[in-house]
Amino acid sequence: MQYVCKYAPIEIAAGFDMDAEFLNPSADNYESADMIIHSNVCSFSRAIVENRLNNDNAPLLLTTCCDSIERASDVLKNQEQEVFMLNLPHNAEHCSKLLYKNQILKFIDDLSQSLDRTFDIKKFCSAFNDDDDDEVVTGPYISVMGARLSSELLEYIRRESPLPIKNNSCTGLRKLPKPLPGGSLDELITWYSGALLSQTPCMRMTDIKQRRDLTEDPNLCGIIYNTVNFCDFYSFEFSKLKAVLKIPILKIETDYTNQGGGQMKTRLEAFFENALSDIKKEADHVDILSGDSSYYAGIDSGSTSTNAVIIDNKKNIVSFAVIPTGTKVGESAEKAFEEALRKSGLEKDQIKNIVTTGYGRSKIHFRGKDVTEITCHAKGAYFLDPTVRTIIDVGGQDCKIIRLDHEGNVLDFVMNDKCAAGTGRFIEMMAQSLQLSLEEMSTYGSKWTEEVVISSMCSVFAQSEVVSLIAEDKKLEDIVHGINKSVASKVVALGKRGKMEGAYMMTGGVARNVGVLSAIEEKLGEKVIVPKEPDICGALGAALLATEIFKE
Amino acid sequence: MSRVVKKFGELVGKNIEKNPKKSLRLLKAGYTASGIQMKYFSKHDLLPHQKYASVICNENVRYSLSKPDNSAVVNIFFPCELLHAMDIKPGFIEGMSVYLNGAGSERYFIDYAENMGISQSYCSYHKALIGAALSKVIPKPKFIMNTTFACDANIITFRTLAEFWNVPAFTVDTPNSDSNEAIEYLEDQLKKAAVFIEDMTQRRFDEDKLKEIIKRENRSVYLYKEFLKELSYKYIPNDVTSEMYKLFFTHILLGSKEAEKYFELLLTDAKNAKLSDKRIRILWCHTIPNWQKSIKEIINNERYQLLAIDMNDDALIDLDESMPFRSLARKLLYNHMRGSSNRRAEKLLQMAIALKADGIIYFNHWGCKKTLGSSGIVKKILEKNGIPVLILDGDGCDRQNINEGQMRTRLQAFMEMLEGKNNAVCLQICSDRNSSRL
Repeated sequence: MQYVCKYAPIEIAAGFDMDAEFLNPSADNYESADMIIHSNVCSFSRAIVENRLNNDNAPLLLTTCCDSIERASDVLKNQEQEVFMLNLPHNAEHCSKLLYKNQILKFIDDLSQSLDRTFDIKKFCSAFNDDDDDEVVTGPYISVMGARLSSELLEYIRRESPLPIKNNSCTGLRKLPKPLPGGSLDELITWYSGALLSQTPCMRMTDIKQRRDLTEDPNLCGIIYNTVNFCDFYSFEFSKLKAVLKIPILKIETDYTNQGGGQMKTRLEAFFENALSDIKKEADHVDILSGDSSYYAGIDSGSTSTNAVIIDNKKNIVSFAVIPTGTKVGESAEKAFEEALRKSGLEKDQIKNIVTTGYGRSKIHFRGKDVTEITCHAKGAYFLDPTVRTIIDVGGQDCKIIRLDHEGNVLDFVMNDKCAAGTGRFIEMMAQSLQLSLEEMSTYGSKWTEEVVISSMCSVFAQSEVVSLIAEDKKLEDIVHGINKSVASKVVALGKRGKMEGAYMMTGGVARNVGVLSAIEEKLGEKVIVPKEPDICGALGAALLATEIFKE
Repeated sequence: MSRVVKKFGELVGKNIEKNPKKSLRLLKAGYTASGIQMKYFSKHDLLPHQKYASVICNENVRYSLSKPDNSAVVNIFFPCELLHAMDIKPGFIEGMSVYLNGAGSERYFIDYAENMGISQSYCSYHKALIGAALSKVIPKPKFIMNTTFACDANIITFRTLAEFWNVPAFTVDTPNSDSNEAIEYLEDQLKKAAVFIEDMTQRRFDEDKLKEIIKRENRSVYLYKEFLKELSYKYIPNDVTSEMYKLFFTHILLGSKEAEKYFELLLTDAKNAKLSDKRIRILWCHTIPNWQKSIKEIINNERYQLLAIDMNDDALIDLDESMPFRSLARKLLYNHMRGSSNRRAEKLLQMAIALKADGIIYFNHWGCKKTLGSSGIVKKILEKNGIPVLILDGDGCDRQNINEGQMRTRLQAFMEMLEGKNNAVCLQICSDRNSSRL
């Protein structure tokens, strides 16, 4: 018997000599599911459908825990799969417990008929054991909260976290006491129904006061808050916690596919690096040497370009190079590094330390250390202008908003999800449709006369909108202006989630696009600082970090 | 959207953060102006019931904004008969959001809500109203009442609103079953809801008045059923906005005097209507984005009969006035928006047969997981029964979340397909007649 929800009365399976299996599948793709269920229902529901369509399946026990699961149940039942659906009340009041008790009793009857077996109360009771599968966490810990997450991701978080992890996500909170011996079936199931409904509530329950216990623990040092794509329950709680809690909190969104691992890794690593720096091993650093010049390099391996910066021990930029990232990250990094060396007239062995950053940071074998681009951008931007409090980094593939404190430490950051809107890629796509070069895209918008709105939030749809505007004979200048505004609105909306404030600095290749820059300034109602070389901010930050030696 | 509405929306939107009171004043002034226009200078081609509906719906929304102390914010499925019995006026979030859209301002409120962390995948009806509340533009009501049905958004939105406004809220947990036990469970909660209203108003709940309201509701439902009989063979001019107005009368105003008058006018208009002729007859599933240019241009057309949206016939049953709470519980559970996809498909099938629909447009409103998740099953069942279905992905409330060009093409192609089918049937009949003459 497979189940997905913590409220599912899965111990019943033991009463029929069946095993209970927690179904939490990731999907490589949704090829089969997409044929029978709309792609805008929650990703986890689609993952269940995808998994069940492609595997031999045990009976599935579901509850009416959310709209998407209800529909996944409909779809699977229409595929002749054996699905038991229990009507789950929204509260733990007396009447609700009785209603759920009867649901469970009916489930026992249905299962009994389906299997032609009788229900064994003793075996049922033995399914409740004292052994807690979760490792016991004492002392400071990080809590994973919010919606369910894949076992692989949870394992990754456990492995990488500097502190123990408590799984307080919706399915991680399944805890039931042992039943008292004796009593009739009716009495036992009445108790069982109450025990199930009285667990720490998930967000679909109407009374969620008990959830406060999850965040009012003095040992709680940080929260990784998971939301699932197209699940609406949890973003609400995140916003609230973010506003009131003083501890670091990171929001991640997962879509139950095995894709996007790189971006997720960056977010988590940056969270562990920055937000939890006070509880990590103290990273004591000293400025290296004085006297003779020594040199340090930073390499930022981005999706579009690879940038290298060489600085001396007085933090003067000696040289830099920007080259397109080819198919092999390591080779591009070597080329960028060699180009920077050539410009500086230095030899490799004169470089004391190299720090790499960007998506390809861990693929560069000659690195001394790799650090996320969040930390490096913060370092670089603060070095260039210490008044900066918010960095808007719009790169080829993603967009990040990084908030700094007055000492240049990262206070908070947000990144766009797996969507091209508000990134350099979006502008490239639009330029292709308009048959303009990126330079032309940068300047055309300033000559606009008519307000044109690109309303779609999706890049693919926005591209077809642009094609429609061309068909309507709209002026290119007006369309480009509309595109600039669309990018600006996406970027600023992302930033507002992070409560950004001036002074602002824009980095990344898109900072060179004057149209987008002025649209962002208009949205913010404030001037934005753009460094002379906005592409190399991350590499500069990496080089600056290379001047600091970390004591083990 | 006209330039005036666009400018008006911008003005409302520009003020929501710096001067929310000004945004509210603008909205109230705008609705008052449109109310006057509807009452005294309405479009000539509207039928009496349509003119009346536009005025009453406008009044309902204005009331929530100007007299919040005597208003409750509810969801569309909440049994408002309980509120009518205590003279509390309901304002429902779906209706209020459609009016924010009508004022060209919904996107500003949606932006506000999204910036506060509400997910982009959330229902835009709910998101717009959350934005309007959290930005402090719309005033807080006396209290909140909602059902957990028909979607998860009800739990999230009303909890958020109650916390933000700091007003008492009562949630009716609607079980997903129509067994006797489920009816009893719900009946018990509706009785508790009445006690909650007593507490809120400091007045004794008037059960006799509730019975009167239920009697009036039965009369209204009778009139509406008679209307549906007329509709099955007549052409009764309809437009997307009027069909959306009808939701007020089939839901939150049902049982009120205004609703009874509406259904009287509706039936009279139906009796005066002509025969359907050869018009294409369309049944619409879920809400209609009545503000969308392409949809208005295609559907508000004399060549077609927009029959109804399924939500306007979701729970119209005779109620036993001697057991008012039990009857209301039965009605809630009868609703075809509750339960499985197959249940909704069966209801659509029944409606399509009864109203002689040529085709069904199934509107996949962004964020409505239940509707989205059912679309494949519903289409399969209806097409198996010979009813063409168009699945139309869109957004009922957010102008920025649609692709006008694509939707126009789909809708137009579907209508052309149905016309082609009808012509083919006519040709077949003509050719059969000719061959029989030979």
